Amino acid sequence: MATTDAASQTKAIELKKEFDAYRHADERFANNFDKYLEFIDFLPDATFIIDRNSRVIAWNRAMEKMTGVKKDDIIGKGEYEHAMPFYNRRRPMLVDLICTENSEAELLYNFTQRDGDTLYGEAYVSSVFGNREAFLWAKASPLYDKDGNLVGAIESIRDITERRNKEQALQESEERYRTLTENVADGVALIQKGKLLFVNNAFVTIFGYTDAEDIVGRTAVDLIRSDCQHDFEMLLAALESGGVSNNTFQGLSLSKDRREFWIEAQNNMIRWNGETAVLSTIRDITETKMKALAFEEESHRLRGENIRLKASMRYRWRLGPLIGKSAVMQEVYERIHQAAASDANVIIYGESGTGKELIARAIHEMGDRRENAFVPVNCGAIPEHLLESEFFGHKKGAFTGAYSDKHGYLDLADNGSLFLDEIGELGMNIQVKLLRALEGGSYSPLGSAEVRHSTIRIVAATNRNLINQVNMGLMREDFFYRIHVIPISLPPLRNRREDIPLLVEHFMKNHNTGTATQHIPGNIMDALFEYDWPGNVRELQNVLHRYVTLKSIDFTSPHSPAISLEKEQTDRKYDPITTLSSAMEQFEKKILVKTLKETKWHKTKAASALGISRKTLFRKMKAYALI
Amino acid sequence: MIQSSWHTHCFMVSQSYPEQVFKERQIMNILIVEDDISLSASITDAVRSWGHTAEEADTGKDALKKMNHRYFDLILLDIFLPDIKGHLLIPEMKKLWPHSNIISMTGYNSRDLEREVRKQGVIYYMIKPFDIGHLRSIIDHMNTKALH
Repeated sequence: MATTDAASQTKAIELKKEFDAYRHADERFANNFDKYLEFIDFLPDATFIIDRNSRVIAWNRAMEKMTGVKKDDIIGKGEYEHAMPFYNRRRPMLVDLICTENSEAELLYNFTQRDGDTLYGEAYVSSVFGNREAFLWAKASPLYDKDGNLVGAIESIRDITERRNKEQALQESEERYRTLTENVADGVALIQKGKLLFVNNAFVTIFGYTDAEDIVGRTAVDLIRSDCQHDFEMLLAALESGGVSNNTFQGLSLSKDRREFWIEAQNNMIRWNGETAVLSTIRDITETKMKALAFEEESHRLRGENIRLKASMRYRWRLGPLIGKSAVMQEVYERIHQAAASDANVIIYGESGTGKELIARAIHEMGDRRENAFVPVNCGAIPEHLLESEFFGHKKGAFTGAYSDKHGYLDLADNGSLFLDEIGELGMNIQVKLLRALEGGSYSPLGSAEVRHSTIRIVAATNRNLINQVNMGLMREDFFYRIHVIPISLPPLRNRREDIPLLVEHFMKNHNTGTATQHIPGNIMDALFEYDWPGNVRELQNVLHRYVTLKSIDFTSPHSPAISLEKEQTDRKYDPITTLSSAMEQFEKKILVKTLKETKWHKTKAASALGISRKTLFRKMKAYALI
Repeated sequence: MIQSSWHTHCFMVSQSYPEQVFKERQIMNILIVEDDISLSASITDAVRSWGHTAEEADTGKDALKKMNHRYFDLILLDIFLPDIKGHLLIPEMKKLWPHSNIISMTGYNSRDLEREVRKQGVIYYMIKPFDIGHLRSIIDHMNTKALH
């Protein structure tokens, strides 16, 4: 216990000693206050001290140097009694001091209050020293005596003009660059870690936004259409890893209103805030791109056309389902190639049974619409008042309370071909409506206000002379010109008899089911040659079909005129001979046909057998409609 | 499809159908391919009452068999037959008789179905229930054409 007491006594004595030491130091400080004031002379910053009455009581050498005011001229003069430097919203008296009469001082930073009534001040002041414009930083703090009473204040000022000038220069250059980027026509964006850090006005406009705030911070790849996003991400990744040869990106972008457009972005890797970033300049290249694509398409088309034309130049004995090596058919093939290479409307003229639908299908299959539907329409098969819904469709219940819609030809043939067979049968009323739909590209189904659009290629066919139809007022002229763009004339079979052997061979193959090609006896082939074929190739096909099934040739069918070979020959035998010349003509024709048959319609051979020139034979064949 | 209600809905006789008088009338042979017996019978009755001949087939197979034996000017072809989709039958029919006119009939319709049927070439695409007057006007039209 005694030890503890002794210890605490010792401690108390030590504390007392310490306290005394402090007190003495304090007293010394108070006594030597004037001496301490001298110390500020050694401070590197311009410094001064004022007392409570705002009288300057210290003014160091740096201060003298900065302001040019001597210590002796200011200390104790009391010229600044009105100044209260350490209160909020008051200017430091320093300002008054350093301002020349005509200078404008600007206080950029006001005094702030901290720790209750303990006040510190900090100010930026721009002023004029003599002839020099200066920018000053001033800081002040209060002085207290040992009882905590405010006795004065100390203030240091520093000339920061140079630093300030540098900052301003930096700011100006930044401003310049900003103005530059904002005013270039190209879009500029800064991308870091996939996010947009900065975009310029042009960039905002290109993407259809009004405010940069709407885009900044978003993921850059979101502005790219989904199928192009991968390419863009790969490019960004490649740029960031360095070593990229091509830094250009072309792809489809999406605007704010989901409009798609082509952009080209030039990307450069830069460093931004110590990390890698990508600086992109972006241009909207939709127009150029569209032109390029159209050009590409056109050159592709021309290439195709070239191939087709080359193919058409070759002599051929068939084209798809069409059979024939005659000169007239070569011409037809060439017309088909031309029609297939174009998208214009086609009209096929030819007698019934010549294969107009086959040609229409061939044109469709060879053309650019082959992926879409080929829809055949028989214009003459049903009355006009029923045709309208067939073409344009009708909504359920429009007529009969039906449960289903009828879509109609135009809807089904959209982007495809509509084959209008027997177009000469089409009534005037439906011509008007069809023309309107084809020209304007829009129409409405019956019983509906819905407007539909179809892009359709018309391939029409007729066995009539449409010009006559127009002249007779049965066909509208404008409708005629809409249809009659690429005309193709199919010859009747009797004008290309040399194709009959090929056709016979073809149809016999078709009719044969696996067994060997059936032989056609010579006399039957002769009959096939001589017949006039009013039902054309289709009639030949039917005749051969019946020959295969019934083993006999007869030229009657429900839909070819009921003329048998026998009957025709009998008729010819008993043709009433009216004049000598007509008798001569008939005889001459018979001789011609006989010889041609013998030579298998080889014209040069026939001509030499008859002892006439090839030219004369030609003229005579023409006269007797043998060509 | 419910037979009884379908029968009453199968077609409507339009009140205003103008009675056409032909000086000459060609008798048309018509084949009705329809598995709904009551609808088939109704059409047959109507067609016969207009002075034409009619035969009925209730399957695709039956139809082809009948067509093998004779020519029909017009075939009314239901698309949903028990043994085959009607439009798959059309190429077979055209092989036999390229000149026969075919009218397809269906109560259910879709764009794809209509395209498949029309691609085969039908003169009319009939949505059931239909106006019997339309059928008559088509037959009369064929008649007029045949006479010219």
